[in-house]
Amino acid sequence: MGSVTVNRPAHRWRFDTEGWRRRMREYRLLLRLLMKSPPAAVGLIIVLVYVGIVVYDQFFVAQNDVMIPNFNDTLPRAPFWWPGGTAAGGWFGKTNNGIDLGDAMLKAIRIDLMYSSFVVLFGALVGCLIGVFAGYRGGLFDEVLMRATDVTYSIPFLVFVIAAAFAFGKRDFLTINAILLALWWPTYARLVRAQALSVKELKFVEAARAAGASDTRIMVKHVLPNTLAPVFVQISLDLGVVTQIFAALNFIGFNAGNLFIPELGNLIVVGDTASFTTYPWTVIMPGLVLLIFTVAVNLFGDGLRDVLDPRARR
Amino acid sequence: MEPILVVRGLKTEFTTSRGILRAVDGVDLDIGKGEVLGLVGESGCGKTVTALSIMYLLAQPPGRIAGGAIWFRGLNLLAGSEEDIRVRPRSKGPPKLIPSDSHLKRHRARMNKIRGRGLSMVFQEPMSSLNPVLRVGYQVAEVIMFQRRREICDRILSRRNLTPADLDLFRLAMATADPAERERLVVDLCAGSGLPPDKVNALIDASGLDIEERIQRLQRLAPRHRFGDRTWPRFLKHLDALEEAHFAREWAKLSRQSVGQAAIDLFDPGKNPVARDLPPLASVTPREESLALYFRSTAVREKRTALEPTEGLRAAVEQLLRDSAKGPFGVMFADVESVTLGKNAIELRFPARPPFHLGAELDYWSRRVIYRILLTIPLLRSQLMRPVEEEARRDVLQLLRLVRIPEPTKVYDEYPHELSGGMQQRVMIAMALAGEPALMIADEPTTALDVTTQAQILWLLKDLRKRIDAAILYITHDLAVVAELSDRVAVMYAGKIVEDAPVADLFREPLHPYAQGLLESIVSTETRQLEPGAMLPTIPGTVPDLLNPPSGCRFHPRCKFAFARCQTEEPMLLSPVPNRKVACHLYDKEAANVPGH
Repeated sequence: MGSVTVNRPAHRWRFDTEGWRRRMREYRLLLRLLMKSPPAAVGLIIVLVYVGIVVYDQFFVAQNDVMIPNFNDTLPRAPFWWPGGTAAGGWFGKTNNGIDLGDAMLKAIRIDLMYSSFVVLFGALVGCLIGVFAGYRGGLFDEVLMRATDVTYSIPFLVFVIAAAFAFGKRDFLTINAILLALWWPTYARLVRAQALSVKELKFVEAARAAGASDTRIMVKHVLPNTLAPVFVQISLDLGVVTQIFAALNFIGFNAGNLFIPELGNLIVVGDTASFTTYPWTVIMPGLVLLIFTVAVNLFGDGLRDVLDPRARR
Repeated sequence: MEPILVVRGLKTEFTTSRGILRAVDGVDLDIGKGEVLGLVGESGCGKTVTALSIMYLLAQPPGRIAGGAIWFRGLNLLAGSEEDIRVRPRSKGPPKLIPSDSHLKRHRARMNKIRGRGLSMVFQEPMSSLNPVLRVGYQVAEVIMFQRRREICDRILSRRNLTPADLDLFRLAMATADPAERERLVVDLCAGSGLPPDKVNALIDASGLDIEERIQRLQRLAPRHRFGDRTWPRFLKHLDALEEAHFAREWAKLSRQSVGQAAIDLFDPGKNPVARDLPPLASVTPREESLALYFRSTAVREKRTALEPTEGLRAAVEQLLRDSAKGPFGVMFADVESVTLGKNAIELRFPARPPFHLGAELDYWSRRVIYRILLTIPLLRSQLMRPVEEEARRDVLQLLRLVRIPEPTKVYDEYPHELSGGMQQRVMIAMALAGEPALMIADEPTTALDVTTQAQILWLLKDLRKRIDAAILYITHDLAVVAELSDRVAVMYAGKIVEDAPVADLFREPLHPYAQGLLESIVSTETRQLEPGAMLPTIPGTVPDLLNPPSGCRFHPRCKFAFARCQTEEPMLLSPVPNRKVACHLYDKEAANVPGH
């Protein structure tokens, strides 16, 4: 017996269950494909752990963004499992000024990840729009936008951020974020433009045009979605890079004059001031957290590249 | 047959490093209402370029429409295209084409109002004609959503909550035994409430359920309105109406300026056989609202003076317009409102178009900006457009059923790669029909498919002919397909139409040597048996290089009947036999006694 499909009435605020289920099915397929390659699976799991830490810290710990020093006991303490460590060190040890490394790193991961994903996602958005516009329209637009991209791309970002921060006379996170944002779109613009150049020659774009679709519609609905696969990969790779840049900037002192800002680079500095050779864990612990995240994000990105390749889906 | 699309002297050329390649050189085509015209010819004859020129889908600048007119519903689709690309001659090499971005953009925007809605196209490769990242149903729905959105909004707005009177109608319909009476009641109910009639009928037939249960289901089926539900559709409707007016004005203004040539042809007995006994035309002056025709006197041969128009002349012109309304001139002068007597001219008056009204224009642009801004927010977009999308979904399912796709509800949510080639082509046809076009151009829709699927698609197209009122321009190099499907055939060779005849006549007695050659080179089981082992006859040679086509008739190097005149003089597309046209000196009356015929 065939089932009769009933057209549900048009409701405004009903949750789109069917669409959501379809989307989940897609994601599950992606996940299964990703899990087939061990490095990608490891990368994904580690990234998820980090994201979990961010969510946990943001919504369940909720404290101000300051490392809490303990001036009664300023000497670094080794974690209890470290050779010569004591119970006073706890799981992650203590760094200079009696700061608990576990608590500080928790906050640091949240801050690093949030700011770097802000930079990367916003850069990707701007880059995609510029890229698809340049690639689709071509001609003078393309020429001007791509030369602007080249110029921006040629600027060494670390030097530029330092110079710009000095020029603005500010070293806080917001300024650094804004400066990085202005530099982070060219990769995406180039990626998307290159894709758009080939996609716009495809038959379905012509078919859409034959159906009377406007240029804007074709750009947004037909060209852009077809260029996004490498963008996702690039986003995942860039997350690690930008996190490192934040750490590097903090390492060289771009911490808004706040020595107690919880940030991985800042933590390394704080540890290093005490003496790396005497208290190695104060540098190794935050350094390891940063390293693992970068490696995991890269593994995940590589896996994603394989999964998003349509030939991999069979 | 009343034509809907008239192509006159279409010339399309491409600039290459070796010179100008004129792919389409003066093509004349008439396509009648609901007619299927087959356009055949070898590869490289310019069939596809003709179609792309009609749709204005050419890649410009390498391509350029160098001249001609395409008349569709009283509009010249090529009006204003002279300024799209300017040609700057160079002393060495081919001339340089300088595209004017603003003109091209405006022309494309104007064409977007015609494409999909008036003209649509099915392409050769269905596999690459669908966007791989979007669901097929959505791709069809999208076309409906931007082509027939006013209609959809109207339908949404026409819905209202079910009233007790509606439920009474439903009860009466269930109680009555007379099918005609029931039909009437259901129509009343659906017209009032916007319920789908098939669903209501199904509920009435569902005798397994008791009456109260059925009423409950009817209520569940009916839309329930909440406050503010109608604001958005009303907004969209108004926006679309304003946009329509905006473009109608621009189109009409441009078309009026290009109607002059059409008027000259109208009074030329060679071009319009109905035109007789009228004084010769001295000049025409296109104006915004009218076209002034100045005649000259024939009475005194030596002194050709302007003719003072009289009431009799006005009546004669009116009669001429009425007589030629059934022919191609009917399309060109489709919206002539009246013929009036001017000061020293006869004036063809066009209806007043929506005048430029700053308020309406500002309203249009402000609404457009609001629309754009609101829809850039994805969550808002999905919420605002969902009622429109759901309404469009019904139409899409109907369309998918029309093109014989099994399980349309399932296919709606599938991606193109999950469908077979034949199914994809069906979806493409559904997409082409979504805007309810007057003319569908099918550019070799079966070439990329295997033979069994080809047969299915052809069968579908044949079946569709009876169900839709769109005319079809079917481009192919397969004469068997043409014989099966079309009413009339135009044979194209090297950028020109060489023969244009009803399908039965062409197959019975092809006039042009090229058409004869094409017909000889197909295998037939009925008319002509080949000896075992004999070679299938072919036309010797290949299609000429269009960069430097042969002089005179372009077919003469390959033609077995060629004589001296063919090398020097280009044949005109004449009509030696009523109802068919051929461009060949063999059928020219002056050359009837040429040796070798």
